Order: sequence, then C-alpha cells, then structure tokens
Amino acid sequence: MKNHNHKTNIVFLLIGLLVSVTAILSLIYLSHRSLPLVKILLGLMIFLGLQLFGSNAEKIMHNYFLKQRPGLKQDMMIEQNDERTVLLLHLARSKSFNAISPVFVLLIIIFAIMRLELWATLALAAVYMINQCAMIYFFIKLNKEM
Amino acid sequence: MKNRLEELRKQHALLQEELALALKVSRQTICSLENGRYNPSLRLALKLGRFFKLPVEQIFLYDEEDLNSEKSQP
Repeated sequence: MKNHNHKTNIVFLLIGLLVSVTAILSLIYLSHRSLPLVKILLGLMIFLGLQLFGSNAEKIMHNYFLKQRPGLKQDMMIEQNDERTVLLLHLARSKSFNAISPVFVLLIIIFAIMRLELWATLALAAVYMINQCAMIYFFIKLNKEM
Repeated sequence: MKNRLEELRKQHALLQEELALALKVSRQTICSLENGRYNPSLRLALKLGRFFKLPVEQIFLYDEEDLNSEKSQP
C-alpha cells in the first residue's frame, strides 16, 4: 500500500467524500425515475467514493498516531516481522484452507441436489479445482526452492 | 523443547520487553519461548546464543522427552 503524504491523503479523502455525497444526492433526486444503468453507476460511485474516503481516513489516523508515539512505528515493524506472528499467520491460513476445502465439496453437492443452473455448479467446481491446483503448484515450487 | 531462557534472562536482570527489543521480536515470542510453547527458528536460536554469549545447546535442551515425542509423531 502506497503511503502518500498528509496533504495528498486529505485531498483524496475530500474527493471520496464529494463523489459519494454527490452520488447519494443524485440517487435521491433520480429515485422516482426509471434509469437502471445510471442508478448502477451511481451505486458504484458511492462504493468507490466511500472506499477512497475510508482508506485515506485510515492513513491519516495511522500517520497521526505515529506522530503521537514515535516508538510505535518500531513496535509495529517488530510485531509485523516477528517470526512467531508470521508462523501463526501461516498456520491460520493453512488451517482455514483445510477447513474451507470440504465446505466447497459440500456446496458443490448441495448445488447439484438443488438442481441449480449447471453453470453455477460448474463455476464452483472450477473455483475448487483452481484452489487445489494452486496448492499443488506452490508445493512443487517451494519444494524446488528448499 | 526445554530451555534456560527465563533463567538466563533473570541472570542478566532483563525484562521480557527488554530482551524482546534487543532481539527484535515481540514480547509474546519471548513469553512463549520461556514457557516452552514455541520452538524458535534457527536464526532466532543463534541470535539468542550470540546475545547471551553461549552455545545454542546450552540454552535449548534437547532431551529424551523430545526424542520420544518425535518418535510418537506419525
């Protein structure tokens, strides 16, 4: 994540706020009209505006707290690079991967039993296959590296 | 794996926070190491050895219990 300077963050925060407020007001103004495409675009503008607002507000807060406590940056760096934290993160990810795999299979079966459209079941099966293939690919890649 | 980390830290009159800061790890890592809940990487073990000016095998004690627990693992 790029860390812009303070002024850039404020400018992007205001742009985000302006875009989302304009889109909300436009949506209210156009509420009685039937313009589905425009409404979708306005919804997208609200989402993007709020995203811009939120991420820049977070960066401003982050920079503010770093200025308040100079030692905080070092603490955060230590915490991020701490080998136990990294190991815990990797273990948590691998356990969540293991937990989600049977859920995928179950969902494929449920989709098939529910007789949902074939493309939905196949899409889910494809996602499951990509997931498994990615695991095999990374296993082989890491095996060569180590 | 058992270790003498707590004993050595106390000998050097250090707090967990101070040792953690010196080794650039979190305090929780030192706490877990002392309680034997976490085995360090080779890198961290060597850093500890260098910090206390002791060989790694004098800090971490590889005993029969560890050998038995390894044998019982599939």
